[in-house]
Parts: sequence; structure tokens; C-alpha cells
Amino acid sequence: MALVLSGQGEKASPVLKLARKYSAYLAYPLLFASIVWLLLLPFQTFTRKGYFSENAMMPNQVYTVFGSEEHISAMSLIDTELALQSTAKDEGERQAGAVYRAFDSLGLDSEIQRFAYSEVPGVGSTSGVNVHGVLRAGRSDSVEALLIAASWTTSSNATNINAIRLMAGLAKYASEQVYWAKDIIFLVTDGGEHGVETWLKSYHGGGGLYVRSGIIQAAVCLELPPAKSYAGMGLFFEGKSGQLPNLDLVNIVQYISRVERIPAYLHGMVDAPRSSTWLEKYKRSAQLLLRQVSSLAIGKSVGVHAPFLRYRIDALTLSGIVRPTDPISLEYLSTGAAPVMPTPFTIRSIGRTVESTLRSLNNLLEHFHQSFFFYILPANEKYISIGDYIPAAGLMVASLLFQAMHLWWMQGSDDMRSDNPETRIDRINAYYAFLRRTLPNTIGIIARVHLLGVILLIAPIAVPYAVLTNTTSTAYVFTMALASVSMVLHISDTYWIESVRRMVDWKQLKAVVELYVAVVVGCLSVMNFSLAVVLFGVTGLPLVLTRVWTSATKIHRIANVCMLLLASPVCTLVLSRAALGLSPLDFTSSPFRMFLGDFYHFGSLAYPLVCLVYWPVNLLCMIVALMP
Amino acid sequence: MFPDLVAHYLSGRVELSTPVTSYRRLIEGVHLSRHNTSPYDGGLFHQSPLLLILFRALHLLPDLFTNIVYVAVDAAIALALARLAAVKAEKSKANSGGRVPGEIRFVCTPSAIATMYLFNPLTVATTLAKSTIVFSHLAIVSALYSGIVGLTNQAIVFTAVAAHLSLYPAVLIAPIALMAAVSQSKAQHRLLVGDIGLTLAKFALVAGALHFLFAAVFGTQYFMATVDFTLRAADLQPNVGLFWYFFIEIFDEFRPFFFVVFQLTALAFAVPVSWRFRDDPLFAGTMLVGIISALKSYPSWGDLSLFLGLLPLFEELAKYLQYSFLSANLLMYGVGLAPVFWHLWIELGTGNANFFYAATLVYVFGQITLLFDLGGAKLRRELDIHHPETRTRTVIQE
Repeated sequence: MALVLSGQGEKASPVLKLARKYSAYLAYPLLFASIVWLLLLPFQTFTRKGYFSENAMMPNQVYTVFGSEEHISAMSLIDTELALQSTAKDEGERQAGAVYRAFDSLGLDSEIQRFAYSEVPGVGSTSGVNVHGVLRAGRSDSVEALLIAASWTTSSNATNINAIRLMAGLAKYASEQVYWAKDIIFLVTDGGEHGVETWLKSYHGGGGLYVRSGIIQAAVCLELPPAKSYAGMGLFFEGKSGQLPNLDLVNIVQYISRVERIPAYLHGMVDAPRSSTWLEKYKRSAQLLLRQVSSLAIGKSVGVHAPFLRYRIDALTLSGIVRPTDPISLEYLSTGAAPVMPTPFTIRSIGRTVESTLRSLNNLLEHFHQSFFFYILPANEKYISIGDYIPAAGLMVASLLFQAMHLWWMQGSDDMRSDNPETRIDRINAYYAFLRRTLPNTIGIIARVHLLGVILLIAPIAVPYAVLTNTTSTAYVFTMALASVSMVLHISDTYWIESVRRMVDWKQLKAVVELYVAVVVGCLSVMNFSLAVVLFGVTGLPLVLTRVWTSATKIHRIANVCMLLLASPVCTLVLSRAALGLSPLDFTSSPFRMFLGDFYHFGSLAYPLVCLVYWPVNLLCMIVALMP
Repeated sequence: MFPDLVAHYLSGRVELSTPVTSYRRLIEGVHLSRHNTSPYDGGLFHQSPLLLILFRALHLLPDLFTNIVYVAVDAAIALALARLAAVKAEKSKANSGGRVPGEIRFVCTPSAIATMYLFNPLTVATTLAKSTIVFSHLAIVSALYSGIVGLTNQAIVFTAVAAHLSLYPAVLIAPIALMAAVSQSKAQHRLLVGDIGLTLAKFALVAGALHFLFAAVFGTQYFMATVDFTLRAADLQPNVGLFWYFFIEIFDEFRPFFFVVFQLTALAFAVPVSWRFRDDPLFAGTMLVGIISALKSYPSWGDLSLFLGLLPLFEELAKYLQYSFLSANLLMYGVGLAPVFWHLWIELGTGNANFFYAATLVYVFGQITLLFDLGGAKLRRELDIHHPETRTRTVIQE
């Protein structure tokens, strides 16, 4: 307890003296340790082998039957119906009508849902159509359901017609069987995640849906771009605000797909071969982890499973991996034609994977609860549990806290820190007068900078036209950046005047900001570890390294500000856009708009964190660097 | 529309509204009583009939007036705090013995104290959530204010009303009795045990009258739904206190024993704390408000906001605080972690009750640290005042 004595009050205990002596140097080793911890994660040190916690699921204990003549011919029903729907007024209606008629003829209770959403909050609207069909379970009364979903376009903007054909085939298969204890819902949307979100909102009491079933226990989303055959499947599971499906679901799908000989690799990444060097293995694991971290931090993943996780439905996406030389894929890219897959083997394997998964989920007696909900996956069928990765976040927070403690102790002039009992009253008075003088100013600076953050947060919601296009949103961000820079210069300049120089102390300001960042990172790390680490990387790390020298020369200050500019939100937004542009994700819009849209539609945290923590803290760091 | 959404969201937060302060339940109670059903029958409504009367009247007016009443109550609390500060400053000016030689003092202006209370995020959130705890707060600060200016009878009535609204403020009668005795003894130059007894008797009379009046109207159901409900912690809906988790876990047969133990922990401090700080009953009252906030059966962030609002009154103790770094951090983490863990537990289903309870423990530990620190600071300051020769020595508490 004595470790955290606030200041100059009573005589210090030996422990406290020791802590005060070394706390100055403790922050850096802790920071270093947290980085080392993160770097150790891709090694097999912390990794454990995946296993099934929920014994009831019995994955792959059943004889799979999908792939008969009828199933394959049911798959072509979609094409037949599409050809018949030539009179529909637009493409969405045509597709929806075809799927509706196909589902109807397969005996599902079907319904079409038309909806509109605005991509930029509050401006314009994009319309879309959802179709869903419910296969009623013979053995129960529609209290529970499983769901298979597909969007008409894949994440890489190809047509997803293969997945919708497969869904028709699966519907045919499922309607022949008698062992279902849960309804099976087939959902087709043409609005991607927005379509799924709208459907889920209506399904869970938003109104507008009449064909309904029970509680949805799990969802499998499919993405099968046009191809002759697939090299395997990619498995994507990241949700919007760090939400993850239960590890059991990921494990059984991986296991089943391997047995069905179309393995589902995490993010479509094959493990390094067993014979490869440790460096190869490490690099492969690190790459996979980095993809998860960036997906979770940004809240963008392949597939349409993310909205399900918000509604407490465990969900993942299976995405077919197309070989670069695939003839049908190349033909699609040049002509836009997406014929039926000529060889039924791959699609049959995928169908059987889904079939077997449905059979396992059908066995589920209660909601997924056994296995892990907090994990990161370093390799296929391996996992790192929360207990093994959260200490890294703990070390980060500790590093911030120790430096804050040290700075809090070191603030003010040196004669306030003597241990001499004779001067106790003078010391207390001086210290107290110092706090009374500086603390309101420190809080005032922090409040002023955060006010700018609040404006940054609210302005695009109040005036949506500011972020209507990429150009205007870029202009908006740069205008705010300009305002921020002038604010920083103004505030730091004010205190260079001799008469008010004593009114602030950079050590105190830095300590308070560090405490604040520590609270945010600490609280966030239990909810979304990836986002917490990224946030620490862009705010906490520069903060700890700000003004490490006690005597700040001009060179030091310039170097410091350059580092902070490199870590500034504008810089990282630009960099992340460049980095993400290379990935197969759809990043035609700027990250700022994407964050805003995700905040508006899915309540994800990235946008408020950028506006209320990242942006202001970066400015505060600059103020600390430029202050007297 | 936007503030309405925020208010609706906040009023559903367990950290802000508990079964005994929830605005939604109050509306339900008002609705029942308007249809001539006893609101206490359904096991849903647990608030005072005084609130029922007030809100039945407000219900006839547009919603705007309800909002105005909440804002007015907040403003009145802030005003009372400012008046308390003014009275205290006057008293310390008159009484030159109450200062340490050579110390520099910066007295918080009354307006600063009011502002600190009003702009505390917890206060804002509590008012937006329309938690009825604010009415109890108003009664508490009014009681303290009336007590310190010597209006004993008024103070007793306010304390009785506060106790009627949320039960725990009953312990505040101890410092109020001391204030009454001090103001009496000024005339007679001695502290009278009789004065204390008289105050207690008056309090028992007023509080008893209030309770029996309403018991006569609503029947025994009223007692079961309010006093008994609070004492036995019958509703185990999670909150930021220590009771709910413990009483979920233990076997039913141990319940009576442990609710006695828990309630004694919360209530038993009244006498020792008041006696130890008998020279400064206002300080004793503040300590008791803090203890109630940490240990009551249905606490919320609103309780802490009153304690934090009263703290700046004792601005002279700030320099004696030793653990402020620790307690401020603990409170920040406690307040920050609670919604996160709630989200993980209830909304996503990926966490469990232990998560939220951990946040609660951090929050309560922060408050207890602050209380201990505050008490220690007061004692050391008194030592410095009464024995100036020890000023330059170090006191080590073993």
C-alpha cells in the first residue's frame, strides 16, 4: 500500500523509498517485457492444442449423405429460376425472386424482406433485398434454429452464386431428413453485412418479419467465388468489437472440414510444413496473428458473420480459396460469366462439411458455453487462451502506471522531496500550493483538448455531408488536424510566458494523461485485446517515450514531435489505408468513414476511441513535448 | 431525441439505478396506484410513498416538468453544498484555534464546490438516469445544512425523510445529534447527554410517524416492500455493491445470519465515527455518507457522487491525504470496468458474474481506501492543531 503514497506527506517507508528510487527505470523494462511477450506469442511457447469441450457435438460421428443426384439438380434450380425472372425491375429483385421461388419449391417457409440503409449516416439510402427460408424441424416446435447465410457478392466483389446454389442443394438435402431438432434458416441477402444486420434486427423484435423461428444458436456463412474447384477453404471468425464465436465452433468446423478433405484454414493460411525451420514457422504464425489482430482491431473481416456475434449467435464464414490459374475464375474475371461448377467433388465436400457441422450443432443441448470465448489462434487447430496473452496488456498498463507514479513524485521543485522532519510543514505547504496552482491548469488543458475530440466525434453525425465522399471526409480530417495543430501550438506557447510558466508542470500533465491512457487500455484489453494493443501502440508507446530526457533541448523536442507526428491519427489513417489496400478486403472508402459507418451501424468502438482517446492523447503528448 | 435515448439507456444501467431507486419502477408504481391497486403488492415497487405522491402529481403534467424537477433537485443539492461550505468557512474564520500554525490554506469557494458536484460525470449520469436517489441526497444535504446552522428540528425532519427514502441515512442522526448538542452546549458550556437523547427521541418520533402513517395507508405490505426489502437485500439484481454476489452464492439457511452481519457492517460505524470526530460533526456526517455509499445493500454510482461532492468541503485535509493516487486509480478502474464487464457478461454472454463482481470489488475497495485515508488525514491534522510541537515529527502508525 505504501508503494503508492501520493507525495510529500509523511515519512516514507523503506519499501516506498525503494520504489521511488527505481520506479524511474521500471517503466522501460516493463514496456520492453510487454513487447517481448507479444513477440513470444507466435512461438509455440504458449500454444495449446485445440480440443472439443462440448462432448455432445460429436463432430464427424455421422454418415454424410449430401451430394446425390437430387441435391446436385436442386442446386441448378437457382439458375433456372434466375432465367425465368427476366421481368423483375432490378437485379436485386430478380435475384430475390429467383431465390424465393427456389426455396418455395423446395418446401421452405420463405419470405422476402426489402430494406434500405444509408452507408454514410443520415445521407441517402441504398436499398437491398433479403430472402430467407425456414426448414421446419420435424422433431421440435421451432424454439431453436440454426442458420446458413450468404450474400450475393463476396468480400472481393465477385458473385457468390455458388454459395447460393449450394444452399439450395443443402435445403433439398435437409428437407429429406427427419432428425432435425432445430429449424434450419437459409438467409440470402444482397446487402452484405448491412443486409444481415437489418434482418437480425427485424428477427429480434424490430418488426417486419413474419416467417420466423426460434432462438438462433449458430450460423455458418458461405462465400464461394466462381471457380472450377477450390484449393481449400478460409475460415474467418472475427466480429466487430473484438467479439469472437465460441472456440468449439471454430474447432469442430476445422476438424470436420479436414475429414471431408477440404480443409478450412484460418484466414486461408496453410501452416508451415512440419519440416520447415523455426523461423519459417514463426513467420507464418506471426502473419496469421497479425491478420487476426488487424481484423479485430479495425472490425473488418471477410464474410457476413460479424453481425451475428452481436446478437449472441456464434458464427463464422467459410470462404473458398481459388487457385490463381483456375480457368473458370479467369473466365469470370474477363467476361463476368459464372457457370455451374463442372466437377461436383469440391462442392460436395463443402456441402458435406456444412452437413456434418449442422448435424453436430443439431446435437447441441444448450447455448455454446464450454470452451473459450477469449482466444487468439496462432496456427490451425492451436490456440492461445486469455490467460496467456493478457499479461502483455497488464505489463503495458503497469509500465504506464509506474512512469506516472514516478512523474507524480518528481513533479514540482526538488526541495519538496526531502525527508527531513524539521521542514515537514514547509514542505507540505509548498507541495500543496504547487498542486493548487498547477492541477486545475492540467485538468483544463486535458479538457480543452478533449473538447476538440468531442467536436471531431459529433460533427460528422450532426452534419453528415462533411463525410459524404472520400474527398470531403479527407478534407474534414485535415481541417480538424489543422485546428488541432494550432490548438497545440497555442496551448504550449501560452505557458512559455515567464509569469505563467509556474502554473503548469509537464511532469504532472504527462502523469495524468498516462493514468488516463492506462485506464482505457486496461478496460479495453479484457473486451478487445487486439484493439487495446493497437491503441497502446499508437498512444501509450509514444506517450511513454515522450520527453524521456529531463533537460529538453531543441533537438530533443524536434525529434519528439516528429515521432508524435508519425504516430498521429492522420498519419496512421493514411498508412493503414495504404496497408489495407493491399489486402483482399474492400477498402475503397477511407478508414475514417469506415470507422464512422461501423460505429453508426454496428456500434463498434474504433471510431469513438480514435476521436476521444487517440486524437486528444496524441495532441496532449505534443503539448507535453513543447511545454517549458 | 438524442438526449432521450441517452436517458433511456442510462436508466437501464444497473450501475445507476437499483431496485430501490429505479425510475422505471417508480413509473410502474405510479401507474398501479392510479388504478387503485396498492403498488407494494406486486413485488416490483420498493420506493417511498412520498415519491409516489410527488410523481402522481408530476404525471399529470407533461414530461418536461419531470425533467425540470430533476434538474431543480440537482441544483438544490449543489446550492446546499455551497451554503454548507460558506457556513464552514465562516466558522473556521471565527475559530482561530482550528488551524495549524504556519499552514497555507486555500479555501474552495462555495461556487467551486457546487460546480464540482454538478459537473461530476457520475452526478450527470445519475440525473440523466432519473435515479430517485437524488431526492434522498437532497434530504441528506439539507439535514446537514440545517444541523450545522442550528435548526435542529428541521435537521431531524430532513434526516427522517432521508431515512424514509433510502433507510441508510438514518445513521446520520448521530452527527446531527452532536451538532444539536454542540449548539446547545454553547449556551450552557457543556455537552449534554440529555440533548443527544432528546434529538434521538425526536427522530424516532418523526421517522416512526412517517412509517406508521404510510403503513396505515398501505398495510404491512409497505414495510415488507421497503424497509424489509432493503434490509434483507431481497432483490439480487447485480449492482456496484457487495451484497448481491455473496447472497447469490450462500446457502439459504445462512442468509439471516449474513444479512445481519452485512447490515451491521454498514450501520455500526455510526456511533464510533461520530464519537471520534465529535469536534466536527459535519466531517463525521461526510464519513458516514461515504460508508453508506460503499457498504449499503443497493448502492449505485449516485451514492458516490454525493460523497465526492461533500469532499471538497474538507479542503484543508487534501494535503494530508496519502493514498489519493491509489484511491483515485481504483475508483477510475472500478467505474471504467463495470460497464465493460457487464457488456461481456450480459450482452455478449462471453464473460460471467465473477467479472462484474471483480469490478465491484475494485470500486468498493477504492471507496474504502479513500475513507481510511480521509479519516487518517483528519486525525493527523487534529494532532498538529492540538500538539503543535509534533508538527515536525513523523507519526508512524503500526
